[in-house]
Amino acid sequence: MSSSAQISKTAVNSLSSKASTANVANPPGYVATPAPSSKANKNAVATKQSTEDRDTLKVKKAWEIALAPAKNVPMQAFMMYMSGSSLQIFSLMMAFMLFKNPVTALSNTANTFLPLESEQLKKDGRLWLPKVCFVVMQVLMMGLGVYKCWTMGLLPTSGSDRLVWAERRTSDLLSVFAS
Amino acid sequence: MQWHTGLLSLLFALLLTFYKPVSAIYADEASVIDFHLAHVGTPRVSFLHAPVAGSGKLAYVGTEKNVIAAIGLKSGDLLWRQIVEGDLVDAKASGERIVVLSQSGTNVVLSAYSATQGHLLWSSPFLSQEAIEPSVSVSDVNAVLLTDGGLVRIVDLTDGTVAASWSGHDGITVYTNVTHTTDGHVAVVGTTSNIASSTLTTAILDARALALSEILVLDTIVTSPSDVLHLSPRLLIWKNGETLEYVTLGKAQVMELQAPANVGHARAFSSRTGRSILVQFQHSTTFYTVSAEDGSLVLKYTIQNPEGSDHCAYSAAESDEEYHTRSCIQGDVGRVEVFGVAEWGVVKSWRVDLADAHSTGHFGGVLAASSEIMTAVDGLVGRVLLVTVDGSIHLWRDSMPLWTRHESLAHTTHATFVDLPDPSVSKEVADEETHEGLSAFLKRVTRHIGEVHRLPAFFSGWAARFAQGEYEVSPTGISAAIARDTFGFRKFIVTGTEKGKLAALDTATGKVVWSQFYQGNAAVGLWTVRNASPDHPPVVAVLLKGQGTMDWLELNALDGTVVGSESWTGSFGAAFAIEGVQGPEDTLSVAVVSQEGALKVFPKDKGMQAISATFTGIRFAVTNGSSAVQGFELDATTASARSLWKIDFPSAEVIQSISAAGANHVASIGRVLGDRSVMYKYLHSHLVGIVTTDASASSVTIYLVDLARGTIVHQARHGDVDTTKTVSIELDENRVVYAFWSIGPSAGTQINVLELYEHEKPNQRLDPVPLDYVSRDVDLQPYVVGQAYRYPARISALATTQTRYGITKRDTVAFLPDLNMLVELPKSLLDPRRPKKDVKQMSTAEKEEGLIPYDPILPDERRWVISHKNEIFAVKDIISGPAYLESTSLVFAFGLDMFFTRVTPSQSFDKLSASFSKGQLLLTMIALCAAVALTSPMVRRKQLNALWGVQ
Repeated sequence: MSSSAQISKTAVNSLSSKASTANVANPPGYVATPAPSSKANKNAVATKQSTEDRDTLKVKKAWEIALAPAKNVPMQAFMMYMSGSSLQIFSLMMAFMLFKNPVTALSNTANTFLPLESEQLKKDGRLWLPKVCFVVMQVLMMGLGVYKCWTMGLLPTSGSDRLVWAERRTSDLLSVFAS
Repeated sequence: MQWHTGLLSLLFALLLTFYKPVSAIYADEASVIDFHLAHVGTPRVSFLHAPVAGSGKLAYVGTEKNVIAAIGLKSGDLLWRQIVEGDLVDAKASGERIVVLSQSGTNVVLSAYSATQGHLLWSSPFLSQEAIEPSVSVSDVNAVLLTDGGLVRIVDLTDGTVAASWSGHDGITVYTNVTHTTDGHVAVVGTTSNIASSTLTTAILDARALALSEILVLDTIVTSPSDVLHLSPRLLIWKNGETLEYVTLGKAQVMELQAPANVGHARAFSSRTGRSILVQFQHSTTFYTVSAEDGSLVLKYTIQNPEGSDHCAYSAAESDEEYHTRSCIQGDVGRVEVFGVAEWGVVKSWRVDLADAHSTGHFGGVLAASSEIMTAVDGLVGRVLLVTVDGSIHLWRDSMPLWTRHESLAHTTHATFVDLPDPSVSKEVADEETHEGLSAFLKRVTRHIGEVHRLPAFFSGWAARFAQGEYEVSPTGISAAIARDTFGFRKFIVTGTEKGKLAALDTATGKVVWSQFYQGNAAVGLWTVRNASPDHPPVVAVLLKGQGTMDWLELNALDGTVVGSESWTGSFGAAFAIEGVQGPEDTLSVAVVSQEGALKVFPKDKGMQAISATFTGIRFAVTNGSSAVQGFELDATTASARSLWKIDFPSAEVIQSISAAGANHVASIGRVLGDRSVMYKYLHSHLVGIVTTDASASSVTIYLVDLARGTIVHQARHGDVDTTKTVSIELDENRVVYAFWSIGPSAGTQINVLELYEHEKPNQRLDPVPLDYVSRDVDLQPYVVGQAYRYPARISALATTQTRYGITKRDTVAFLPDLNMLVELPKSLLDPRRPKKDVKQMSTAEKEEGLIPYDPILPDERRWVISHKNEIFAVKDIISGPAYLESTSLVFAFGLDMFFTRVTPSQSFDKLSASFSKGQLLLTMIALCAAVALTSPMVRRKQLNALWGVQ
């Protein structure tokens, strides 16, 4: 939090405070409503309780987000199986998506969980586990992509991939069949 | 999973139905990308004859290659030709028939061919008791055949049946010549050899009543049997000491010929009727006519011989009047003279310069001549058919050359491809390569500035080429500049023959560019020792073997001029190129070893030292031609070869064909299987494949021999083989293909294919690459997979297509001698890994490898024929060379005929086809540009309106 943001917050607070508005006439057509100050005081305990509930809900929601890719895995695996191991535009696109999606998701991890962040959760560190789980799930998806590439023969794992570097049996002895 | 594999196999089966292992050549490429030179060989007999009375004459030749052929006199085109079984002895014309006498051992065959069409009319075999050369004489109605040195038969010319026979065998007389006489009798001449002298025996037989009966037998004493000078239908002339004597056939009186003093070098020639006789003595030539009253010879005139008259050929021309021609040509230059019989002396003569007429090289003088003299409005016109010593046939019409047939090419034993200079690589460009850094950059900039003036020409040329799609040399006419075309399809093929003729052919035209003739020598080795560079022309080297002499010649491959030579006396043992050793200025080194083991290395100034610096040892093997292979090692210190090992094959076996691995480009050292594992190829630079036949056991055996160690790496034996038919073998990379004629359960060619791998299991190799494996005491045993196929046609020569980098599939080119065709057998069908099961049972890996289920029968697929409509006769050898394009391989077959073409075993993947519609593509692009230009203002207006909210 930068200092300028703090200043502006104070400015807003001072603008909205009752003390400063008392001497200024209300604009035409403004209907004043009674201040809910007493009610707020009364509900202060209840508010604290609902914040805790909301945090629990947020953690629950975070877990949901973290495990969402896992639900996708069987679906992706089925699609992978269906598209076969041949090199085609669709299977290649699928493999590409299997890499692209996790990478974008991982780079947006912080943003994904931003709406769920709160002071308390941060203090308790309760969002840490879902985040790790989210990352693991995305890596899992990427693993699926790697597997897909392997089935398509795009990974240099077999003997034929090293064939280029294999040396020909040579001899420093010359032998010729003379005609 | 089940339906998945099911779908896959269905797809695969569909693919198989569309599978085309090799496509046929395109109709528009036939005879454009290829050329066929039909040859007949060096003539043994040649004459001019009108096949139909009153029609124009044709030239008929019977050749050393046992071909009888008719050649058109106007164009020099081959009208027809037939290969005769056995050795062609003589050929004679009788009206509409050409009678050919041939012999192989004790089999004598008399056959008749249609003079106009060339088809066989009849063929009569005669079994001779002894292998004495037969003789034949032909009249209008019958032929008289002399065999066995005394057995005379009258053969009916209509059907070849024997009408009558006579035996002159008395145990001591051997008859050698036969002729019809002018009065309808038959004369046979022979010699009876006694201890002191020989007796010339002439028998006159009455042949009129279809029976042979002796009329007269005349004995005259001669010094030796070779003293018979001449036998004509009227006379017999012979030498008797220092005089010439003659007898009129049918009379007993021996007369002496009036002659100049020296009769030692006398030669006599008569016309077919025998009315006039020309006798050439050492310094003069005398003309005689036969007296109508008593048949005696009357001297007409004597003229002095010109210079160089010992290299002359004589012929008589009979039309309305009789003329004799004498063609005296020494080297390439000489004269043709026409002698009158009615008139006195030389009535016409003209100068002949063979080399100048064709500007192609050397012919070595005249061997035989045939002539025709016609009376035209402005005097006599002569046509002379000349056969030169090198084997070529020339036709001259007076002093004008009409055509030349390079028949010496039919005796080609060696051929090599020569790359032409690349016009885009100039001397400056090559010079730049030698500089580095800033100086190279400055050189390039200055060169570019100097070339700016060529820019407009470059653009117009580029546009013209784009419009026409002409990337290749036009097949018509030799282009002015001898230069490589864009794709490297144009090359020179330099050939060497067993007669000492060297010739270069341009593959763009199929014409002889230059020729050289080294009489009395045989080419025993031919190499392209130096490639073209901006500084130097390409150089070919030829090793010539003469009588106890050897010649090493280096020739400029573009014009045939000799740029280096060396001669020495010695025998010829072996000669081979030493690949991998570059001599001064990048010249291929060649080693020549004499039979005694003395070594010579060319180029001379490089010597053995450079070679021994590159290799720890050089070993070579030679075959004695029948049953043994011997290995030698070159000794650098003593410049000699010493014997290292020898393999004696079983005594009943005869070596038929040999193919060595050679130093071809190998793109990949392994074969990738369907599951992406690798079978490592057994690539063995010392390997040679030898195939032998055993006639007694009707078997064929193949040996794969390690040249360096002299060990047999693999051998296989096949029974039920017809060993009289050609067996051929081809070894390339790790693959051996061999073909023989099997008489097993059913007759047909059996093609066997072996592939050698380092290990039975994929991804496994033999021990770490052993450089010194020769000294190790173990053989590297290959894992061999093999398969056999049946092919309906006989195969007599095999070759493998070679490409620039060896990436393209290597197909097998085969010659089919019975069909006179060249075929390209696809590698995918000659693949020993073809699974022996149905498509449905094949595993996914096998399908992914692209294997085709095994089928023992190779189809008689006419799309594989690369020689299309051409009938190619008696191919002995096929060579293949790379073009500049990886997809294309050049194939050259030679033997009696020559055929050149180019093939694309994996289709022409790196070149747009000629039918690609560039115009359509251009039009589409232009239309698109126009559409964009038209619509862009509309779109802009619409966008602007949308921004302003205007509809």
